[in-house]
Amino acid sequence: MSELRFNPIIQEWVITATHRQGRTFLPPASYCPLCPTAADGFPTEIPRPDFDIVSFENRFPSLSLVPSEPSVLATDLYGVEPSAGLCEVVVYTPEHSSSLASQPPEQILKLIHVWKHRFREMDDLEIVKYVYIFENKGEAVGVTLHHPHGQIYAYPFVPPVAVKELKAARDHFQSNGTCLFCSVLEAELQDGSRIVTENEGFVGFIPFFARYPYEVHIYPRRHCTSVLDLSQAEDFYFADILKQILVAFDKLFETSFPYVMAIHQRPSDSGSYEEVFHFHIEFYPPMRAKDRLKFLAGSELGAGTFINDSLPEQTAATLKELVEPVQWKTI
Amino acid sequence: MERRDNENEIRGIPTVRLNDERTVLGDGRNLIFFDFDITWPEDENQDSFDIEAIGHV
Repeated sequence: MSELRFNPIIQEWVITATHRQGRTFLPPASYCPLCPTAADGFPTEIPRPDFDIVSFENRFPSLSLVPSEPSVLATDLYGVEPSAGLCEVVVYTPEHSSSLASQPPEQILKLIHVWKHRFREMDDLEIVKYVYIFENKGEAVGVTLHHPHGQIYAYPFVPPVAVKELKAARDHFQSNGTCLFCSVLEAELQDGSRIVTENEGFVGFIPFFARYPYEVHIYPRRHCTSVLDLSQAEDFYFADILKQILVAFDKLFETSFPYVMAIHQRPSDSGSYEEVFHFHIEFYPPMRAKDRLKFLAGSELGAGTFINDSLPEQTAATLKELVEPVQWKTI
Repeated sequence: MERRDNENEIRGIPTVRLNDERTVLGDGRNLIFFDFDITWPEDENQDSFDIEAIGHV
């Protein structure tokens, strides 16, 4: 059972998805549903003994192209809609005990091409207003399957984070005639103290206003609204900087670093975003020390105000020390 | 073969060709297998690329 319920107080949709209570929860590696199906093994989600990268519709979707009828009726106060949309899983590799960070850069480059493929297709669907590509990594952020994978949600509305970013970007453009994100990038490059790494196409930094200690943002130098705008060279530099950041994350506390990786792109609702929106990645890592997590608590959840118990200038400097050049090799 | 030397110089930009193969699972869900051809400039006797092409802020 799944439906959209509108919260009129903060004007946001909530997705109910009661069937997700029954989803597979931290299975042993031998019963991983994201591994290839071995000749004599149990049938996984992927009916082949090997693959490179695969995507498929989530078995327990929050949004579906053929949604069920809502279980409740809408009222004047409470809006209700079917949970139309699409939820896909992208499995990065057949190797169960690995991570995106441990993949060769060529595999990350391939994944970027899959992101482009899936974004292009979902972006064209009439019902879809926003395509959100993300990865939840680690039990600290609630992961239920350890096999390296990401997800793509195609929403039937523009979600609140994107709405808020777009409003700020439009306000900035009206006042200054420039892209807000380009201005942020320029300010970070001018200051320099929060830059973690950069290459010819992208810049990775912990922004002035970071909410999490190691909240790295990756911006393309060129004003692009989505992954579809990236050139062949930019795809390469995107993979290169992602690999740099992911490896530095794992070195930071000598652990497989948990995070939420969120790809922010322009909406898919046929609006005009060329001047105002700038595609970028944001990482939200919950670790603030080797043995300590940052929890969202009273101020963050109840007041919407984050308290960051570190300085971005210091955490960026720490992370910068751990960045190493990427070794590209032919496969 | 290393694609980057000690001075961190990138020696070329690879071309990626993505192939997709679609199938429908038993319960009706769509699944796509992706495979790729990656070609490096050196494979085509090229050893440079036009850095101006990507632009800067």
